[in-house]
Amino acid sequence: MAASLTRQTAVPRPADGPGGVSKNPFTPSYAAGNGTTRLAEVPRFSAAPTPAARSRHIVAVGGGKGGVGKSLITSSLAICLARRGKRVVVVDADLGGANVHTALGLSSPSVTMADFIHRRVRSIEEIIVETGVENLGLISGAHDYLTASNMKYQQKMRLLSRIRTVDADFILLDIGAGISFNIVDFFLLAETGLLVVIPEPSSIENAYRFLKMSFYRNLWMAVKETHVRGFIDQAMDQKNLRGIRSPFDLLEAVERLNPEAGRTLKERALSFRPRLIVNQTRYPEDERLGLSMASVCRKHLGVDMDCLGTVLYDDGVWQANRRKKPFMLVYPDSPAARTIEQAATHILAAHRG
Amino acid sequence: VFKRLSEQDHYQVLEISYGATVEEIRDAYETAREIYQLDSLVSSSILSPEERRVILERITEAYNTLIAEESRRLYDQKLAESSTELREMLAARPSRPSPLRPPAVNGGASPAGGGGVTRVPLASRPTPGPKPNLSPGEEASGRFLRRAREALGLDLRSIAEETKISSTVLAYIEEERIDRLPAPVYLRSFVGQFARCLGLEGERVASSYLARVNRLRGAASP
Repeated sequence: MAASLTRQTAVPRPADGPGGVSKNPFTPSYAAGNGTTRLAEVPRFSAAPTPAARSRHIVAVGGGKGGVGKSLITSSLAICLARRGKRVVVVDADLGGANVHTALGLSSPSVTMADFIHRRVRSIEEIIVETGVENLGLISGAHDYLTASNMKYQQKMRLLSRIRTVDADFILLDIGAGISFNIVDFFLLAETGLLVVIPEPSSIENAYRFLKMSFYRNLWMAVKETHVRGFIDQAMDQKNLRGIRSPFDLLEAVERLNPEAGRTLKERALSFRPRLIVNQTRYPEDERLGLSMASVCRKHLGVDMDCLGTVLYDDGVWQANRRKKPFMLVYPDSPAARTIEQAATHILAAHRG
Repeated sequence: VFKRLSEQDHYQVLEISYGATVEEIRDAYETAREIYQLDSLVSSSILSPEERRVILERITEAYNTLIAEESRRLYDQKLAESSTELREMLAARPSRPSPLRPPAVNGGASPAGGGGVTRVPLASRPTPGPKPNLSPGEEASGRFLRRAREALGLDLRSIAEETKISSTVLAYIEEERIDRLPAPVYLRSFVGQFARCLGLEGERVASSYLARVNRLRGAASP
């Protein structure tokens, strides 16, 4: 995991290209009916992965809301996997709010994703920094808000496809808060999409919105036909006039019009299998939150979601953070750390298939 | 199962195996009710009140059908006729002779058409013989009956209509109003009917309840 330093260009260049004005990444381009987005090209769910990519397993950690512990969960899982001898790279894809390095007890790295986005380095390997944990490397997020919020679509796609080529067994992405397509696409890129929620109404609400968004986005990427995509757009607008209120309505409507597209969508819907971790639980009744959310997802979206664990609230997380040490290394025997270890075991099992 | 709720069978609605025991059905129902009740944290942000009402209705229907031995047997029969796969899954369930019909009478009328092969059920614990609704060591108190009734969403009036026992007496039974309860010989029959109406084992519940009342009476008048 050698991290060669690069030119220290102080000022980030504005986005390349004439005009340099990228579309607002928070505006769904397809919602406006403009067909410039070509997300179907994102390498994902490919039945036969390229030989070079065979052993890689990407885990994306999201959840819609900020402050629920995504960085902690991501970095802790990464430490677990690395300590079991896997070669792991954590990618802080929380563009704008990157702080995985803090959860790993590191100060702000000198090379970040911004260097890659602005082509100040030649390969993505050059921005992997060491973490002090054997087998664990870090790609730090862009710290300047300018880079994060002005990332053009092409830049994002280049980043996604390069992250795939990183030579490691596991690549863990902290995808940050929010449910914009920029973020959802990172989630969908992964073999394991992991949501983090805390027992709070706002977190639960955001998690559902995130799930729904990624569910429909995933379907949208599976088809090319404009009219089918139109149906999916309708489904995402809950007040649509076609009366499509659920994935079941959507599939029926599509099937009537285009049976083949209907089959494609159904296959894609069934392959969508997010994972869940409930973090910062304090009361016994919080224990059931994960299973309950999974039940709601099954009934409402037809989606099977596995709950990988319920992580007890632990003041040690805060203490470790203050001491600039990774929680997993300071309190490895705490109940919270043990639950995260178990979640890591699940992910290892999923990787082996 | 990628199926609408309206197209799912009762077992799928409650998310239980085809071999689920009475306790598992009850647990699944209580959990589901907790999830979809109107002030629930888990479902309120994704489902409208109307959607939750529909789901709750569906869950209650599934529970009511499966919790009572007789209606479950009839329902299973219907399911078994609808698909070979389901027939096999239902056949894999250990026999659960109904408390209303002793095994001797019920012998040949198993929903799966007998077969006699006892395979290990999908996810249920082995349940040899009649399955008591009371957990071992649990007493059939008035509170137990009330909780069972409320879990079904039934009021005393509907139990009274069904059993022809006055709702006042039913209330006395639930409240354990020892001074107002009828004579033991009637009480046994009343409690038995009440329990059966809730899908419980009438005789067992009645015996337990009577033993409890006797004990309370003894304590009340030393």
